[in-house]
Amino acid sequence: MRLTFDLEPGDDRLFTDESLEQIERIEQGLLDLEHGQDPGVVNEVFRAAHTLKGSAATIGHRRMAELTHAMEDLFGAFRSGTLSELGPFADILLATIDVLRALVAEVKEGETLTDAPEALTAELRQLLSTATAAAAARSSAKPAPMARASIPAPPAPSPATALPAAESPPGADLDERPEDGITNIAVAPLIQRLLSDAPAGLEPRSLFVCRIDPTSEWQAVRLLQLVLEVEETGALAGSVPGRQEIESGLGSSLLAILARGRPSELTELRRRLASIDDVVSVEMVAAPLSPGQVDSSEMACSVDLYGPAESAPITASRSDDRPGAGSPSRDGRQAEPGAGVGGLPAGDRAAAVSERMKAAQQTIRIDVSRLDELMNLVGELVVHKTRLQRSAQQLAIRLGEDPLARQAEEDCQQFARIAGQLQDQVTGLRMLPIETVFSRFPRLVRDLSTKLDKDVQLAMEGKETELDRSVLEEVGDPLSHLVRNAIDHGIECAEERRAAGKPLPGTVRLTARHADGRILITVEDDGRGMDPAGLRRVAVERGLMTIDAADAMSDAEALRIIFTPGFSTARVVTQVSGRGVGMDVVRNNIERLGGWVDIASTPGVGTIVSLSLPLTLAIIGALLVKSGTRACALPLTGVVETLRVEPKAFGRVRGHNVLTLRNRVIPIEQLDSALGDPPRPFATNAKGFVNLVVVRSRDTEMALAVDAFVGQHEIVLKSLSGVTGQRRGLAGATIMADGAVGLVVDIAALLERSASVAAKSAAVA
Amino acid sequence: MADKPTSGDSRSVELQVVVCELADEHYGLDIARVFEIIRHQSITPVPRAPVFVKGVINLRGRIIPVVDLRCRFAMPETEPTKETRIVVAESGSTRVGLIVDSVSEVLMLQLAAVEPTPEVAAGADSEYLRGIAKLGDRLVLLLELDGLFDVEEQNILAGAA
Repeated sequence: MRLTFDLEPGDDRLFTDESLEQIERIEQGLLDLEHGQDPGVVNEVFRAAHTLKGSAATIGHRRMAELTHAMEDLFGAFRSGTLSELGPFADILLATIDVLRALVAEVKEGETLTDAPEALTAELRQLLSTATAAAAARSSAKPAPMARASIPAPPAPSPATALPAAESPPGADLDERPEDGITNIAVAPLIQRLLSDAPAGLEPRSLFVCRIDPTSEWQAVRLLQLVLEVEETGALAGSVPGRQEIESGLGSSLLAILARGRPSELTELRRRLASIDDVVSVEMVAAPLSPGQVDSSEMACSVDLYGPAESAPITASRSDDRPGAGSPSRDGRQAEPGAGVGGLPAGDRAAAVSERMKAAQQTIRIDVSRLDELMNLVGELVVHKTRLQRSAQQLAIRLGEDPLARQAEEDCQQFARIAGQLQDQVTGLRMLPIETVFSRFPRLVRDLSTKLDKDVQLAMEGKETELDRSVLEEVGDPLSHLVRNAIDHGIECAEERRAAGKPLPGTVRLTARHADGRILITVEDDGRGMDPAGLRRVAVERGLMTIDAADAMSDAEALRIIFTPGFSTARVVTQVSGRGVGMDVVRNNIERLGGWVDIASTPGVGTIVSLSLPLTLAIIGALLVKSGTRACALPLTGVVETLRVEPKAFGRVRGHNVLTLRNRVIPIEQLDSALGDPPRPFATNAKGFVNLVVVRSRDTEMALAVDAFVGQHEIVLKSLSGVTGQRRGLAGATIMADGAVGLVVDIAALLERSASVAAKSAAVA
Repeated sequence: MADKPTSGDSRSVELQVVVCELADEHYGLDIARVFEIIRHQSITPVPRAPVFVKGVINLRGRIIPVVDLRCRFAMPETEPTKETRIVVAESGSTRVGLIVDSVSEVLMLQLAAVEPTPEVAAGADSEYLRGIAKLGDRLVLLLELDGLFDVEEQNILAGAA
């Protein structure tokens, strides 16, 4: 059955992106909570679950809404202290995360992908009610990991300051808060802000205080409806939260609206407001003419203003520009007693939230394809810049000291500078912190160490290190492989570590940093390390090399044996890794990206694998050559050297031309015929030499004959779209300085196809 | 691109076409599917491409495949002249450049004046002809852009050639 959702076409992507973001936030929070409780994190997961529930309900994804609802209830109970520990729920909650991801995918796929949510929802509810009952029965909760137990009260987020209980100390005992964990905030500061934001005229004004059912799935919609209703009558003078705040999801269940007119004139409007769905109550009072005159007794209502409380204390960076909302202790002005004194910190908070909102509006989501298009255009601009510069130079030469030519040249330089900066900026836009990849590892490490019954902790450094999206997308899988390997093969089980006097838990450390215009990522473990002698032995046993060859290797070389296809040192083939496909795939993938892998290991101490990768795949260094009628670019990462050789120096092996270079026999092929063009005789230069480029991928080398060397350049790699390019030994195309299209060779793919030929030739030699 | 115009829109009674010449025959392309018309420029051949694909060109930073329509219609190929144009159009969901001898004009055709392709002329290639329009003593063959390439060829084009 085809699933349909209440979504505009194209909005599924937005829903998917945002939901996955929230899910990730919850997952991250759960993992953090395993290492110690932090009310900030509790609040965050609660909020994320709440948001998720809201958006699922909005598009009519009932199964997802119900599951998130059950999850939210659990977090809510934990947050309010009804539930003392999340620990026992960790596994089922993480399982819920996985099901939620599938549910999100259903929106895109339009079909049911998982039948788990119903059962899971029921299970979560059951667990919650059991636990709640048990908690009620228990007199005291024992401190435990993930327990909220002994409360180092969250640093006074927004003190429970229901007026007139203004004396309630900051950080009041959390357990005295209402069951639903909602922080009470006086409405007074809200009104203060409203009045100070909308300066008084002399006309009479009325204040509506509207409450919406806090459990409504449509809160934001209702808030907006209320504001729009007033706006339509032309009476709207302001509202808190404002329309923008509501639209960016910052509203909650309370809304204050300032309207022009006496209360007596607005009874009809009030009736209309009250008739909107989910609106619980609408109070109306005559508004004072200035902020100072708020009669709090009339407004002595405690309400949930901005939803769940912030855990970290948000201190307003500016308290001076909101006369009614500033903290008296800070600006020295003592507000009238009862005029919202107790609520002032909350007023600060309101200001802080609006600050945060402004910050939030300074980032926007952009479709990646538009960035790519922008990159395309900038690349083109840079090409034309070069052409323009050349024309200007020629003009200068032809016209000599002509001032116009001089001017043109200067303008060109200026233009070139700006184009260069533009290119840097656009390239920077595509950079993302590596955190987006690293974030998957806490979960992976947790699951894996549980499965293998090993005690492992994960440390990560340099999460903020930025690299291009194109590289980021490719680096995740190799890194996962390495982390799995580290846990599976590296870290010993607890007894073994204890016997060796090594600390528990074992550590897997991931680091990332920039070095020499590249990114260096390391995966390090303090496990058993690798023994070069053992590796040599296994390699010989598996027939991967002769005893002599193995003995001739240095220890460093011996470690690299693990990159050989078909090699695995795992004593048992585990479910996780050890089928001998891991490391050679890692190396292959990294090298395909123009990177390299290094490995160092000390038996008994640990292993460190380092990956060095280019920051971007979009711009690469390449050797440009002419081959037949076209220009080709060979990525420098695969180029070993260039040579000019006389054809008579070529050897012949089984009909193939070969080159003997420093005791290696390397097959020679014409570049264009290697790419698939019909064979043709070698082109020679004036002196009768053939231009050769020796390329290498993994351990295969080949000499490609080209018609001419053009030079070494940074090129912008463009997709020939699809994977066809790879099959053809092409990585893509690029625009050359003269505007023509050059083909970018995928050296690894090219050599893979020729590998059998090369191996044969080498074997014979 | 959600509501891109399709050449099979039966509601309209008129069709605006770009008229191109190919070996003294007139071909009409639905203007809604034509992005632009450019002069012939140097084309980079791509190895192992189908024979009718001449290669790729750079269109303001975007790389698009170029198809020789003469070659596609099994007409004798000619060297490019001053009149040779590349019509950048959408075929299926792929943007392709079509090499034509020249582009002569843009015409408004009454759909009523379009006759189905006669059986005799149809033959195996009829899927890329929408019909024939008679304009005075001229015949304009209306090209069905989506029918220019079969599914496999579409894939090859989309995949780069």
